[in-house]
Amino acid sequence: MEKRTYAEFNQSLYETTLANGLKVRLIPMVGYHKTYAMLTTDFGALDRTLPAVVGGQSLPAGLAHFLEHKLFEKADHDAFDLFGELGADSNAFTSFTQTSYLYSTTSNFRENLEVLLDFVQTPYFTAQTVAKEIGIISQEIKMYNDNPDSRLYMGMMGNLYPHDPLADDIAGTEESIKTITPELLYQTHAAYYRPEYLTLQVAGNLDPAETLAWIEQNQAAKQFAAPLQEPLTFTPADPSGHDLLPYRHLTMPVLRPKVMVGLRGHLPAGTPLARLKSQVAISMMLELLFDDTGEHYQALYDQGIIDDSFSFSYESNRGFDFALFATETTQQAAFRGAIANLVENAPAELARVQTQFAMLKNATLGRLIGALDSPEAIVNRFATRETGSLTIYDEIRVLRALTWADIQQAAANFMDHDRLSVYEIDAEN
Amino acid sequence: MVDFELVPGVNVHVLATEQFKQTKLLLNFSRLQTRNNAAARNLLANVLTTSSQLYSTQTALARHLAKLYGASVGAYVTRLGHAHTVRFKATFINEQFAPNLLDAVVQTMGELLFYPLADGMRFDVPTWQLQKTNLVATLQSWDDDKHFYALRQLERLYYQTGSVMEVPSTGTKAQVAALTNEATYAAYQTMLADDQVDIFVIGAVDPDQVAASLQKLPFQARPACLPANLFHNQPAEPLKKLTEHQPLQQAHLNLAYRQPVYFGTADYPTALVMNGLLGGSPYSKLFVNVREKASLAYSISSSLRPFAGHLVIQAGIAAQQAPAAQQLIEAQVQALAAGDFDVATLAKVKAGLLNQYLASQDDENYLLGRALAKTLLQQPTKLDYPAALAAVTPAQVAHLAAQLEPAAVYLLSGDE
Repeated sequence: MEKRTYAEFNQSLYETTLANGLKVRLIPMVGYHKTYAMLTTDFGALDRTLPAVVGGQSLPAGLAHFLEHKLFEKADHDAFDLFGELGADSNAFTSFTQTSYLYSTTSNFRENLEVLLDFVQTPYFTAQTVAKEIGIISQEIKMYNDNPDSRLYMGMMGNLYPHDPLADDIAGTEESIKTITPELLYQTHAAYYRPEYLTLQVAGNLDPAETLAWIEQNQAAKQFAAPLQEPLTFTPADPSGHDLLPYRHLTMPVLRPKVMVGLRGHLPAGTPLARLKSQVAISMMLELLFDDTGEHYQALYDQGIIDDSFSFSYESNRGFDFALFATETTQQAAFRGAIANLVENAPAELARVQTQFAMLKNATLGRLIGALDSPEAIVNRFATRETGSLTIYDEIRVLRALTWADIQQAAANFMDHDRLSVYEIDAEN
Repeated sequence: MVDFELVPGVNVHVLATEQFKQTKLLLNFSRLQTRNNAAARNLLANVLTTSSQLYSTQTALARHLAKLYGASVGAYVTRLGHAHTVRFKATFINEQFAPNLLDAVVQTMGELLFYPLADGMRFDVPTWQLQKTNLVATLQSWDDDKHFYALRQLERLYYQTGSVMEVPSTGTKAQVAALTNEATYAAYQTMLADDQVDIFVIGAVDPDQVAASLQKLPFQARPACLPANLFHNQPAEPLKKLTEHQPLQQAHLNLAYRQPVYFGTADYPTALVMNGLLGGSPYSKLFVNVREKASLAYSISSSLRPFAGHLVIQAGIAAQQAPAAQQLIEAQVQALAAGDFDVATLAKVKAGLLNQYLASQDDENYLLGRALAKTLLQQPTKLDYPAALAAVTPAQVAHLAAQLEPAAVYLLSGDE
């Protein structure tokens, strides 16, 4: 087990990969009462085909999320109940690039750990339980359809990646989930829930050596077929990005109109560290231009073009990256014009705020150090195999080393006026 | 916890701990809510955290906070029983990473509170006007979140017509829109001079240093203004029902029940267990029987209103199934009152509550919230919560459930 020490934060971190391929990362936190554990597969809503060696069959939209829901239920029990009997809070979630199962507990840590590993690694699906779940998830999909924020986000994803699974809701559609069968769930589980796709992270109140021994014992009792050695990858249908839809809108019975501007990035490539560096630089560059310390926020705010609902974010993941800018406003055209203008003139605009760089870097650093108080934040930020050995401590290191030249480079790489897109939610009259 | 009085009516509570890498500061202003004071206090929370004499624009304030290693400052209103509170909160990293932040953040808070952009009669007009416009817009956009909208409609229906509680702690859109600058400023002067003030600091701090920093703030002495009992208790009324139609794919069915147990009292652990069995956990009757078995709701939960004497149930349903869902929900309440639950489920609910309690000790926000509630409610006694939870019996739970009294039913339907 590799031990890394971060003296400045009085923190150690342990990492190893078991013989069967399972990656394990343990983060003991002094003074904490709870233990937080999360088991993640890199398989997510984006992954819509089975591996070539087992036939390469395509998967319906929403299957990853459906599998997550159904994995808890077994022949004679529900994993939720086992966690409950052991005093743990358990949950799960599905994103485009991962599916994660987690619990938080202050008692029976080992027993809960066994429940987590066992229920995720031992599938059980029947036609009856699949049929019932189709009903429940259909209701969930309708619920999201009534939510304007959800419609705005999914509308934008459809603009940025119109021919990719990113355009489909993670829960799928009422039609797509009807095609899910127990057989398909078993095949998918067999392919993508194998140890070499999984990462187990535990943070909080724990003893590393003891915890690792428990995990090893649990895994030694299970049989797994030989590794497939086929990493999950994603390449957009049109890597050039020319398929992007520049504008769409939706009319809904909302009281306040909304607008979102999206900026599609180029394919992030390179090592996990290179991608982290690029991600940190682009995020900081966007903060310099768009946050409330910048040169333009105040004017847009004072003109009522944005208000406190304004937000922006940058996401970089396996095979795709994009920035989103959103606000509630009645001046939608002025908002998209202002964002487009800053994207187009990024180099000159950045020069105006260069004096803010050191200060803003420290502010971001302060917030990142603050995140170290949360076992959930530490574990969730770097959860997949795809991020390699990187952790939040690497993010802190990369941020500290960030230079003004990195910011300029980030703007040159990312701020491309031709990759902008707009999605609006308009109020019914 | 170290407690001391800054001046009469302004008390400081310091929770020194080495567990966390960031420190939190909370300045809480409380006074009794009236039917008219909530809107102005909500607007104040926004105006005062926008700018000040020293930081005369949002940009200046944002840059100042960035210099303090990304310290965050914000304010919001909420209420605890009848006490209306305006809470100014700051978060910043510990001394070991950036020295003297405690003093700098306290000083910043002092600038915002005591030296606003104002002329002694009213706030800077453009600042005040824009914050007012934005606050009205924010309250309006809340109505686009139908789950939250339905809950607020249920609460309005539940509270007695004409009562103070009928007015939300945020004030209404109409109330905010009707505010004048002078009235907002008068509310500011009242808050600063007359409110009960409780200041909390949690983190790796030295109480003496906290005292030294806070003593620089020009707080004046003030008499106590909160009564000993803040809990809301209203007379029983006939069941109130309301159905509203909006163009939606899904419907929201919400129910309120009168419930006699209040926060921190001897029976409170029983109420928490009862709520866990009814709809507050994945093992609850509502979740298992209404959602999982009957598929009559895609989301369902119950929660206590432990300062206001009731319990609410929120269900996301298909509109055409509203009568069936309501019937099955009511049957769950009756079954709980009849003692129809097994010891294994009871044990799971108790284990879950104990876990939440123990885990909350790792969360500074939770610790602050609990300390504030105990201070305002004047509940200094330390309840042995784990022991009290373990001692809750099935008979106590059934007895309490039998006292749940249907008070309001609100349906937001997509069907015309």
